[in-house]
Amino acid sequence: MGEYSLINRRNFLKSAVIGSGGLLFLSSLPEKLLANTEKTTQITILHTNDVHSHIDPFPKNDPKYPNMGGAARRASLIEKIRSQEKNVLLLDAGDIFQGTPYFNKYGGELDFKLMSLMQYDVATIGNHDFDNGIEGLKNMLPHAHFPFVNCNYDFSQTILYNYILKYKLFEFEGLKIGVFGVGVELEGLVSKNLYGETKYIDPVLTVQQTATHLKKEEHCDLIICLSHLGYSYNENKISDIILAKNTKYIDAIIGGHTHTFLEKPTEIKNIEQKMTIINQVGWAGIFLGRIDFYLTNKKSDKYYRSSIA
Amino acid sequence: MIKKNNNISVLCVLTIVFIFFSCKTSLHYTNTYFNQSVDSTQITDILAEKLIAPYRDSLEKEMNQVIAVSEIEMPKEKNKSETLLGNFVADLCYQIVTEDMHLKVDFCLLNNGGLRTSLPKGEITRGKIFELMPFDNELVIVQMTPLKAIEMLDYIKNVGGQPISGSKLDFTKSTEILLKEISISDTLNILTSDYLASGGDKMTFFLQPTSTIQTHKKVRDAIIEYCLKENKKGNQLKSTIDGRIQFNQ
Repeated sequence: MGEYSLINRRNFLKSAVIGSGGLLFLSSLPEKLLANTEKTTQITILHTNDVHSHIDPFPKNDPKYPNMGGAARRASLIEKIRSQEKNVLLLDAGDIFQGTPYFNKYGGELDFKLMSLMQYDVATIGNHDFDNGIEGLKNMLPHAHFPFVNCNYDFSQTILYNYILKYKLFEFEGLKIGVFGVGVELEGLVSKNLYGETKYIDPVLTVQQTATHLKKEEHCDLIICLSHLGYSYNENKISDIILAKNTKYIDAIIGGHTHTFLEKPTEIKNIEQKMTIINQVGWAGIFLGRIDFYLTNKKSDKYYRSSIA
Repeated sequence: MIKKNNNISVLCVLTIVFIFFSCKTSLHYTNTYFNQSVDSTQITDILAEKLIAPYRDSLEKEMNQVIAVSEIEMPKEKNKSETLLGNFVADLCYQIVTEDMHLKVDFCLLNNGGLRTSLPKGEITRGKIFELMPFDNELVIVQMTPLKAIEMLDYIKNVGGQPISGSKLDFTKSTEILLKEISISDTLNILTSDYLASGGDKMTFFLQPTSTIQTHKKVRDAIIEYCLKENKKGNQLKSTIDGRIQFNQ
């Protein structure tokens, strides 16, 4: 396996052991661990959120993000990582649609075609993905060669019934990864005539049911929640932070909606006092998030390292 | 951690890495986003570029089309009782719906926040109108009671003005008089966007209306239609501050 050399290649900056039995945060991989990596499996999670139809890079004279982003650049970056890593999952946390004339003119066709070209594995639905109505979303689905997951929208009375999965399972070298999705309340955010008979279900309970199912029934080794709830709010509104605190079994929440540029992933002690991490990479595809999971058969502890100090 | 098949326990190490687009041959780690050099070194994926190119070409051709010429600059301005830009958009929406679509409208109310950029003096491209109005909001006519209309007038007064058309609002007069100047009917026809009609920008007086008439006309399309029409007539785009909203000094 090529992971050993990969680990050595990288410089990790920050160190903090949080506690045993849960997710640990380390600055550098202990030598002992490096010596025991024969049976390590690396799983690389790449992720985007709130790309908002930003196909082209921002203009060179953009005051905030000059010449940043761009789907063709993202594609080459992803391709490069795929050529280096064996087990790659590519995820999106919603709001693929709306934000440039590409969406107004093509309705998301090019966005989905590009994501298919980049071989996205699964995405969740953001509020703006309803901007051409559920029909507008459904009409674009044939261009998406990857599934959508959501566990808290009831589509049973809509034309999207049976088109949206609750979760998606992946398997790498005998390890099972469960990815599920959760979406923001649509009322007040999206016109009713656009989301139609889509019913919003309170996230905490249904997220826990899904995570428990993935843990206990599907025996997932790694559980990832794609969330379009938003990172956090001043008011007491459900967010990724609140979700992480009130649930268990979720290893990572890949977030969106609030366009939050996290300088480092947020560590939350979940309801079992174990760590759930939250990550979100702003918007418009100007960053690609990356999480490398190293799973071995040596220890029961989970470790978490971040280079973002 | 018990596994059914291989009974292994699992050690997970998560390495969180934000990858910047300017990455060269190896991965860079950074705790800031802005001090990275961008991005002549970043490779453009050939297949993706090939996929995008025809869409971009077609879009650019359309977006770069000059659809009108403006006699003046109409800047996006905040905290003014009326603006050149707001008057321009409200007037043209009122005109398109009443004169071209022959629908009855007593008053038009939009919001400044929804107008996203300034219009320059000179040539106006289709793309500029997309910047001005990126949302796909549609024009609707909300039919409301005089009681609700009084709430609407109080709202406009309290926020210090919004883009309006169809009637003047001299707030030195009483709300009841202003209401009669708009319409003496029991049902008022207020032209607005479906976003505002659903209570957007705190316009709660639009909620629970007597009824709502859909025009199925996007605000952006109304602006583009108006520009094309004026251009065809050889007219340049104009707007004036005409004192349509006045407050006690």
